[in-house]
Amino acid sequence: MTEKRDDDLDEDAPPPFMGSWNRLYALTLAMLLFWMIVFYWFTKAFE
Amino acid sequence: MRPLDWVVLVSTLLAIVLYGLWRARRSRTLDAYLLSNREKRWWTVALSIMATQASAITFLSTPGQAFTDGMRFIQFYFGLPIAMVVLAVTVVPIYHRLKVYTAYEYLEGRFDLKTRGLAAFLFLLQRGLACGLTIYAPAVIISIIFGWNISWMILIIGILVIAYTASGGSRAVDYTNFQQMLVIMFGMTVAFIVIIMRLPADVSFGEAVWVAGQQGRLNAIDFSFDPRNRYNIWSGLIGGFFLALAYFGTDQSQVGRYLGGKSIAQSRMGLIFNGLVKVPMQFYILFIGAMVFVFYQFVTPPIHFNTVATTQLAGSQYAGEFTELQSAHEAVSERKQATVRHLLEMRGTAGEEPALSALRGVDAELHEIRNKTMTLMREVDPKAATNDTNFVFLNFVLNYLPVGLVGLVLAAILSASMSSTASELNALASTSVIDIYKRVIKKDGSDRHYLIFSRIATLFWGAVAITFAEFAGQLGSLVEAVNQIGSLFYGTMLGIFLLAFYFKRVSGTPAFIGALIGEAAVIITWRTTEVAFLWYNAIGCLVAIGAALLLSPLFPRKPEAPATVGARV
Repeated sequence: MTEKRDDDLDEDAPPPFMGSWNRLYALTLAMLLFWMIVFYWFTKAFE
Repeated sequence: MRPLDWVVLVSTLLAIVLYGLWRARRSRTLDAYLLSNREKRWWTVALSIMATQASAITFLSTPGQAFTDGMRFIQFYFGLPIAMVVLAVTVVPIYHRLKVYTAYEYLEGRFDLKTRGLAAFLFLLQRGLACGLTIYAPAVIISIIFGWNISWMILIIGILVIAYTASGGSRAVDYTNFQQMLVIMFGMTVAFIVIIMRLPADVSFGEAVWVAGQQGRLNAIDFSFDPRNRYNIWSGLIGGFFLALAYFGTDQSQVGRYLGGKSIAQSRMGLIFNGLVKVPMQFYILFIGAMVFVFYQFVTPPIHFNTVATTQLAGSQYAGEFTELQSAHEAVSERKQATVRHLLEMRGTAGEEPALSALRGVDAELHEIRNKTMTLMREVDPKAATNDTNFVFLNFVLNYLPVGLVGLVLAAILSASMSSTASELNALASTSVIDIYKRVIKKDGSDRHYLIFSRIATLFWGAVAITFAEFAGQLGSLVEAVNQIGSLFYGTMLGIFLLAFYFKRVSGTPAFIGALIGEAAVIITWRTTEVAFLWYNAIGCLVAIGAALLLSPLFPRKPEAPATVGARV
């Protein structure tokens, strides 16, 4: 069985993008908000 | 299906299966078999998660949903990105640190064996039955449209999936999921391009979107709050959040995908990527359905998209009435096409509102003709599938896509079926071996012994899935009930896990009793109210947590024994 190395279990290891997890989480939630606004506009603009 | 379509279909599916078998040739340990040796990179985790969630019925139903009901279904996914963030922050590090094989393994260390057993049992029951439906649901639609033998279709798809899942385990599942997701997105993109190219030359893309919007097909957001309304922003954000939290946090078919990540960072990134991509991806698939709707504003659609049922009707005693209805349908459809063109000419002028009103009148006529046709269909065969939502997209693909591309889109749909089924079989085998066999029946086996048993468990669950799929057509309303089983149990499962993660004072017995009370609350809600199913997840979860917290003072938690949490058994 492959044993986990310590760095694999490091919660503070940065994500591959954006530099920090908090920024990535904020981006995910901001993108959801962005899509909701776009869809709202989409609904209103073409109804 | 023409010969080139067959070549594309068979070669695509076979290539994916052979690739999966080749990549999995080194799965000789239990860790490799159940969790891909915990060495997956984030993109493999991400695409495997997405391919597992997207079953074939997603790609058959979703465009049809937009065609008939508009795009409000997109709101179902609004809770998902929030759930991905919550799981990435809290759950992923816990599972990784404890090095568990299954989500339920964690529950014994945190609570006790009976709570672990209850969660594992609920999973095996729900997923064991649902796995058969993952094969059956698309098989029944495809077999109706193409006139293929459904039993053979179920058998072939089932055997292909079992072959690489039993042989290569999680590694084969993850690598084939990756390839299958690429085929799915490529197939859907090709379909979208063809739809746009098939629109009349004098109708621009902007005009096509405007036509869809004027007829209520772009209604993506609905702020009205009604618990009986399945898709509005509140049920999507709240109910969808609880559903996604339960599905990705407690369902082994998903947990197994990110448990195999190389590190906490790789697993987290896989989940977050899903959170970033899922909403626009579903919007894209729904938008394809909206564009199919626009296409049929300029081309006469079939009177009903289940053409097998209409062919049956044409050969019945009601043939005369049906012919009259068809003639009326063609005449009114031609009038509708002229009305849509007139509406486009009047766009932005004083004539727009009268033209829109005329279009609604013609629509009502078509609706009435359709209703009469469906009444006749039910007269001929009371079991006829009169809801044709699932047939819309495949019908378009079959009639309007160029040769070769029909095979590609069909390969994409069957890939979706195979990827979901494979993940489910792998998860069922993991839970059977780790939470039942290794924990209760044989505790001291060798790694090789458990590996062999895992393969046998995969074969067993594959056989269960095929058998259930073969008989699903005769089970009538039971199929519908099984479809709802996920929503009936997810809330309770989530309640158990949230108690484990966040309520450190709660011990095993109140969590177990709380789960039973939560489950009772969901079943009572299901049987006695019209509350939409998305809310069951929130109800089951909150009642289970509330009941456990109330009972908690009666069963104080014993001092924690060191090193038991998540320890291997």
